[in-house]
Parts: sequence; C-alpha cells; structure tokens
Amino acid sequence: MGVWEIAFLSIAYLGILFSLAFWAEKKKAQNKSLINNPLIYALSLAIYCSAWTFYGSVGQITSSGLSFLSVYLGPTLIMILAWGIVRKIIRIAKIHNITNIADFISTRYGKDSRIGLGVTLISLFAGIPYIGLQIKAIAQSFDLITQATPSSTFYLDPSFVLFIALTVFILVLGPKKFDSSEKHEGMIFTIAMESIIKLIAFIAVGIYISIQLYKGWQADPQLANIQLPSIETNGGYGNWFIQFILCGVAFLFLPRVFHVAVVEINDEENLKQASWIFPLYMLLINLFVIPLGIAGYAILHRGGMDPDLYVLGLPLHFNSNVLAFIVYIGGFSAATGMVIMETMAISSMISNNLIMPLLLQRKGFISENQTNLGRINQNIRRIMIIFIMILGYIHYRETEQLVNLVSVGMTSFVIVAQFAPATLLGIYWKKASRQGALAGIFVGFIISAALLFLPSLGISTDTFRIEGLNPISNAAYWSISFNLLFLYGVSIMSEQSGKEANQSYLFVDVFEYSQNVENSTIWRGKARLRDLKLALHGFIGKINTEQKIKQIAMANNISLQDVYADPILVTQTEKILAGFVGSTSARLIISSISKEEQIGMSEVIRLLQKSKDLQESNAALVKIDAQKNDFLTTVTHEIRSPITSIRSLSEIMVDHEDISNEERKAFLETIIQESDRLSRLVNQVLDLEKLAAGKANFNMRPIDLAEVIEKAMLNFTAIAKQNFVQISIDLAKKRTNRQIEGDFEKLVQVIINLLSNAIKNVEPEKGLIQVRLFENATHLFLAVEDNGIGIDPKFHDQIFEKFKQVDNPNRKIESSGLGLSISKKIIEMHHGTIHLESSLGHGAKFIIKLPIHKTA
Amino acid sequence: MRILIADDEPAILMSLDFLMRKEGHQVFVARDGEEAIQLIEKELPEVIILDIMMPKVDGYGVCQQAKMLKADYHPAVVFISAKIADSDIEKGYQMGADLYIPKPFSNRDLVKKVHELYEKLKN
Amino acid sequence: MRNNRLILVAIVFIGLLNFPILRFFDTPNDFLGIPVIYLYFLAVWLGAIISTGIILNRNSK
Repeated sequence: MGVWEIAFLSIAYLGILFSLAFWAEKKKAQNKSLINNPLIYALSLAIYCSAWTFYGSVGQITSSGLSFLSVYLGPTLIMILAWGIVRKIIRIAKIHNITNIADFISTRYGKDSRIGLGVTLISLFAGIPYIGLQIKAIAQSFDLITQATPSSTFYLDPSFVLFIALTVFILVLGPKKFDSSEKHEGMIFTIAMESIIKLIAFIAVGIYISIQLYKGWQADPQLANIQLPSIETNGGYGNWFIQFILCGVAFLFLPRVFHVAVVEINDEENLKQASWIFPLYMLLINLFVIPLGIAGYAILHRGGMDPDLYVLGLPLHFNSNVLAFIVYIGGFSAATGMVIMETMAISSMISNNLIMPLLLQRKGFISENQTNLGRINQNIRRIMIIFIMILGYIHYRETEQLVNLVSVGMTSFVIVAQFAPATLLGIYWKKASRQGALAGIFVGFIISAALLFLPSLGISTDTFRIEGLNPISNAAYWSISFNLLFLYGVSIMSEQSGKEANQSYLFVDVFEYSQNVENSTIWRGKARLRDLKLALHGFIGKINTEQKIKQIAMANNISLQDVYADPILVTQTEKILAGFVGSTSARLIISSISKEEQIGMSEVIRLLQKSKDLQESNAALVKIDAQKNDFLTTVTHEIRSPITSIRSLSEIMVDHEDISNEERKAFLETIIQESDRLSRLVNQVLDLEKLAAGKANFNMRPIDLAEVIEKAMLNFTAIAKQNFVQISIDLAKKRTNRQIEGDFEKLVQVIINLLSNAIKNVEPEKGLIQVRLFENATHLFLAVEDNGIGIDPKFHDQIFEKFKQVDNPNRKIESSGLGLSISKKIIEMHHGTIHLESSLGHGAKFIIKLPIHKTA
Repeated sequence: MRILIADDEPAILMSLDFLMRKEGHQVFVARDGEEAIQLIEKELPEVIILDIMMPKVDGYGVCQQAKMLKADYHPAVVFISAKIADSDIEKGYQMGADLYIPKPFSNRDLVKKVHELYEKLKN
Repeated sequence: MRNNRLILVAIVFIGLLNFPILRFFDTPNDFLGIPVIYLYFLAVWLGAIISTGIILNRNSK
C-alpha cells in the first residue's frame, strides 16, 4: 500500500477519533456522559495495553515462552484487589483534588515539593523511552505496511508526518483552560474506542492466522513441533514471581494508568464492574498470542523479520491487505492511546510540580498575573507536551535498532514501581513519613537506574547479580527491597511534622472521614475574600468564581460579608486550585495571599472526630431540631396573639380618651383574659419541662375518677357555655366504688386539657362533648368524645408528641401543641395509657385507661 | 371606606373593629374564613384585613377568592399574622397580599399603612 | 466481608500461578495442539475473573 495513502488514512483515523471526542464533549455538555459507565471505564483502563501488548507479546513468545503473561497477570491481581486498594486511592484523590501520581505522593507527605518534583522527574525519565517505544511501533508498522524505507533525515521520513499529526491531536484535545479539573470526557471516550479497535484488530488477525496455521499444520507437520520454552527453563520461577508482582505494582503507577483509573473516574461504582471486565479484556487480547507467535516464527523468522512485527507481517505475508490495514490501525490505536495519555499525565506533573512552583515563587509573579494563571498553566502544559513528544521522538531516532519493545517496557516498570512503597504504605500506615518516602524513592531509583543502565555503559554490576535472576528482576528485587527498607527505617526513626501527620490521617482513614474532610478545615488560613476570588478568576473565570464561592458559602453556612474569608473557603479554594495546578502550586498561591496558622494534630483529629460524631447523630439531631423549631414557632405564635390584643387594646385606651366606660371595662377585661392566657402558656411549658425532666411532684393517693371529672367540670361549665357547646357526662357506672391511685389535681388538669381540646374541635352551637366513665376487671376507662372535625388517622401517632402540632388544612387543632403531651406524660406517670380513636369528619375520642387501685 | 376584618382571635377583632370605626370607616368583622368570604361577596369591601391561620378557610384562601371574585373588583388585602419568618412574609405577598403586617403591631402604624395603601390603590 | 473474599481470591491466584503448583503444569505437553501451560493459565485467569465478578456483584451485608 502506498505511503501517502496510509499516511492519509492514519490522519483520517485521528480525525474520526477527534469527532468522537467532540461528540462526547457535546454529550457531556448536555449532561449525558458517555463515559460514566463501567464498560467505558474498563475499556479506558485498557490504555495499559500499549504497542508493547499489540506487537511485543508475539515477539516474545518464541524466545521466552509464556513469561510475557506476567505483564497481564500482575495487573489482574491488582484488579482483584482494586475494590480495596484502588478505591481508596480514588477516594483520596477525589477529596484532595489530586490529578496525578506526583501530586498524590507529595500531598500524602505534607505537600512536600521535593517529593513531587522527584516523582515527576522519575516519571519523565521512565516515560520518555516508553513513549519513544510507541513512536517506534508506529513508525515501524508504517514502514512495513507501506514498504517504505525510513529516511535518515527525520523530516523526510514519511512517519514523521504521523508524529506531527499526533502531537497536534493531543494539543487540541488536551489541556483546557476553563474546565473542571483534569476531566477529559472526549479524550477518555476516544481512548475507550481505541481499546475496542485494538482488541478487535488483534482478535481478527488471531483468528485468521489460526485458521491459516491449522491449514498449514496439516500440510507441514513440522509446524506442530515448534515448542515453547517452559517457564522453568526460561528464567525460572524466581524471575516469574518477581515479574508477576512487579507488573502488578507498576501497572497502577504508570502515569497514564493512574490518570484514567484514578483521575478520570466519574463514579467509584464503575470500579466494581471494571475489576473483572478489564482483566477479561487482557485475557481476550492475549488469546491468540501463541498461534501468532508460532506462525510468525515458522513463516517470517527465516526472512529475518523483527519478531515485534510478526503481527503485521503475517497478514501481509498472506496478502490480506485489508486485514493488514486493520492490524496497522489496531497497533496505531494502541500506540497513540498510550502516547496521548502519557504525555498528558507527565505534562501535568511537570507543570504542577516543577514549572508552576518555580514561576509562583518568583517575586511579584502572582500579583502580576493573578487573573492570567489559568492561561499560563494551559500554555505551560502545551509546551511540555511538545517537549515530551520531541524527547520521545529523539529517543526513538537515536535508539531505533537497539532495543525491543518488551525490555524498554520492563525497564520503565522497574522505575515506576519505586512509587509503590510510598503510596501503598502511605495509605495504610500512618507513620510513613516524608523523610522516609524521600529516602525510599531516592534510594530505590538510584539502585534501579544503576542496575539497569550501568551495564549498557560498560560498567559491570555482576557483583549484585543474584543467581537465576535476569537483569530486570534483579534490579526490581534490589531496588524495591531497599526502597521499602529505607521508607520503613527512616519513617520509624523520624518525627512527622504536624501537617504531615494531618495528611497521614486523612489518607489512611479516608473512608472514615471522607464526608467530613471536604467540609472541615485542616488549617486555619486568614485570607481576604477579594484575593481568593482573584486567585480563582484566573482559572475558572469570573462568573464561575462568583458562583463557586456562593455555592461553598451556602453549603457551609458561611457569611460572605467579612473582608476576611472563612477558613473553610480558603481550604476549598486551595482544593479547587489543586485540581488545576497540583497541590504544591496551589499551596504556593494560597500562601501568597494568606497568613497561615498551623493546627496541631490532636486538634485536627478532634475536629474530624467531632464532625463524624455529629454526622452519625445527624438524623436524630435533624429531627429534634425540627421539633424544637416547631415548638418555638408554635409557642411564639401562641404568645404573639395575646400580646397583640393586649398591646392594641392598651394603645386604644391611651390614644382615645373619649371612650365610654363600658368599652373601657370590656377592653380591660379582655386584657386580663389575654394575660391569663399568656401565663397559662408559660405554666404549660414549665409543666412539660418538669414532667420531661422527671422533676414534677406527684401527690399519689386513692381517688375516685368521678370526683376528678366533677372538679374539672366545675372550672369548665362556664367556658362551655361561652362557646355554646353542650357537655354531657355519663357516670352511670361509677357507683362501683373502684378507685385508682393518683394525683388529683394533675388528673383534673388532664381532663381540662382534653375538654379544651374538644371545644376547639367542635363547631359552636352544634358541638356536643361526651364524657364517659367505664371499667373492666383491672382498669378504669375515661373517654372524652366530641362530634367535631376529627383527626386524620395518619396523625394519631404524632398528636401526643411534644411540640407537635398537627397541620390541618382548615383549622388549628391543638393550639400550643403542649396540652396533649402534658396529659400523656401525666397519664404515663399513673401507669396508664391514653389513646385516640378518630377519623376526619367523625369526631375524636380520647380514651384514658388507668389501673384500678387494689384496696387491701 | 369599607373594611372587612377577619380574625379568629375575638380580642383582636374587638380592638381593630373599634379602631377602624373611630377612623370613620364602615367595618365588617368575620371570625373565620368562610364568614369572611360570604361578607366579601355581599359587601365588596375596599380593604380586607386578614389573619392567616383561621378556621375553615385560611387567609390565603380568602385573599385568592376575593381577588378573583369579579373583574372590576380590586380590594386591597392586608395580612396581619403571627407568622413572621421571612419565608412566611414572602409567601403572603406571593399569595396576593398588598401588605403584610406582623403581629404584634402598633395601632397607629397599622392605621397609617392601611391608609397609605388605600390612597395608593385609589390613584 | 467482600474485601476478605477478594483477598482470598488474590492469594489463591498468586498461589496457583507460582512455584510449586505452577510446576505441575509447566510442561511442553499439549492438549489438542494447545500447550497445557497455556490452557492452565487461561483457566486460572478466567476463574479469578469470574470469582471477582461474582463477589463484587453479590449484595454484601
């Protein structure tokens, strides 16, 4: 196929990806996220399967047998445990707005800029060859499918066009200015699509070649005799074990995998299904490695083809151009996906941990560029992407013939695995300290780099070579052991600073505190609100800033009136900024505009514990709070009415001296009545509190309930008459002489309460209230029944509740909400019960049941 | 002018009735929402002073019915209520009140405000 | 309890795929033309995937 044809088609393919990305962004804008589901999330994790997987595994098989499988079994192991480990990392990252592995580690260790910088440089160091490897895969497959000869002058090399196109693609899709932190909907969607394409391409060629192989097998029995080296003979079980673990650990700390797995996840729940879908993806993409390897070896080995190109060479050999093109695009997808994400992730690390901090520390930089920081940050990232791409390209050009896919990949793995101890111990062990992490990462990196690279410079490291281990496993073994040793040793010997200790709690106990951390202040900063807003302007724009600040203020009940912003606002602003520029730079920006006070460790824990306790009892509190509010509203309402009358009538008498004596007398009487009403209310509140606190005195003696009723009626007849309500008393069965033991006055109060209640519920003139007394063998019953509007059964449970006033569309049923609660309390003190039988429109009947006093 | 006063607190009715009569207005009083509506339909008062929490029909209901009674009838509605939260007051205005006076109120103030409102609506 | 089960799966996974158990299957023999070790890997792998899926999808208490 022609050079320009393929080049054109490749660029067209990038164009399609771009439109998919654009479409996804558009859907996102309509709130229909395409990527917020487990399948897309799992497919985006398949960013792990780069050109190394696509071309490299088959290249390995004839020389090293199945040992390449550890590259996928290790990550499978991590995915089995992902719901524990990865979910914790995701949660932490979300809370702290962490957007890359360097930020993660430096945030854990007290936002130490040296750690962030170290992790960044190491990632860059490990990433460049890895990116170079992908560019190499793109170029080689391009040359093979077009049969072009690579030119020694790079700009004449046809594959250079692809490199340029890819760089432009990343720049266009990549760093955004006014975007929520580091979420790239479109990019993730294209990555997921690329994962589908590379899987389909690989399986297609696998099936095709398997069929060809089976046919050829019958024709040439020799083929069947090609045997794979066993794991034992190829490196042995020690190497296998170390690589198995190494790949698992390194998997998560590859910048691109960390980015898609941790930063771009929309919903933690997606991880649940991805935990098995992604391993299944890895299994499927490896299903045909063996037949492809055997066929490649049998057919192409003699022609001297690079084993890394068998996958593409095979369909070409069988003259299947369409399939070859599909494979080419599959490999192109694998390589571009990796390059896109890796450059994005590393560029954000460099910007956050190296360049922004340098700029921000320059005197006057922040104040001069305050509203421009977002744009500056975006441009730095763009420049960094170009820089990384060029380094990758140079690496590819300079080392083209030297290395195969797998060894470069494994070298990167050993280096990024140095982040594992500090991260994993950091999220499970509070004592892991900044000094320990620095020492561990530094020592681990030096050892791994020395063991991996010194031999290629002609310096022997054989003294440190453990028998039976290959250079990769050997380097992994020494570097990770020493990394762990230094991390552990230095941590237990060093003292953590306050801030470090704070962070360690927040990380290790993230699930305990996660809901509180967002709202709690971990440090006390004093910053002017104006400055905070200015700092945000530069990143999220003026309108969003105002909105965001308002949102935070609303959510936390903060006033925005003061010149100085609430500490919560400072903390939240720092978090937002961290999403854009990383924790180190965010801290620099915030500290440039605020004075910080350190909070002690114990105070932080106390704050967190407090808010946790608060949260746990929140439901109860909310309920009590609502009841209290009801109570206050009711009581104040009840107080307002008599006060209104008293005030109004008094004013009249002051203002109008000419009123008649008759009127004056009526007004004064009303004032007295209303004053009585007020004092009754106050007494009721006090009564209830006394009863509730158990402080009320009960004067218990044997009493006759009929007498209680009579006493109550004595007070009540006049009121009934006033309201034109008829009361009938039926004490027919009272002559049994059964008595109860109780407090006479308090029971009178109960009956008055019930009667007042009934009066309020009936209509004047038509109202009838019946009081009846009856008994069974053990109890006396007293019923107060009215023919009023009744009470809806759904309120029956609530009606005795303290402070509870039943809402009724037409009428206030219970004026203060206290009478019934008081009555119920009193009856309970008599070991009795009170309940209500009623429905809307059919009157209400309160029945009191009291135990009969056993006379001796 | 003609004023309707509706409140289920007899003492408040008593004082407002006296007050408004002294000001020289024609006053109708109602002790619940239903009575208020009947009186409004019959007398078409120019100003309606309403309590909110009343039996049968609450103040909101009376206000709405009064406002929708006739095309050419536009009474001024004043709520007097012990509900004094901002949200309550806002709701009152949403339900069509022209004035919302929280309880307890000063007589002079009430009279003044009602007059102002009446003059404003007349022009 | 979900995490404990997953840890168990992980331990079994490591155990089955390493010395000494791995040695029993690490032979040049094949079954229907497919190397036994390869089939073994696929079986353990698939087993781990299925167990993980089941554990995570079962309603945990």
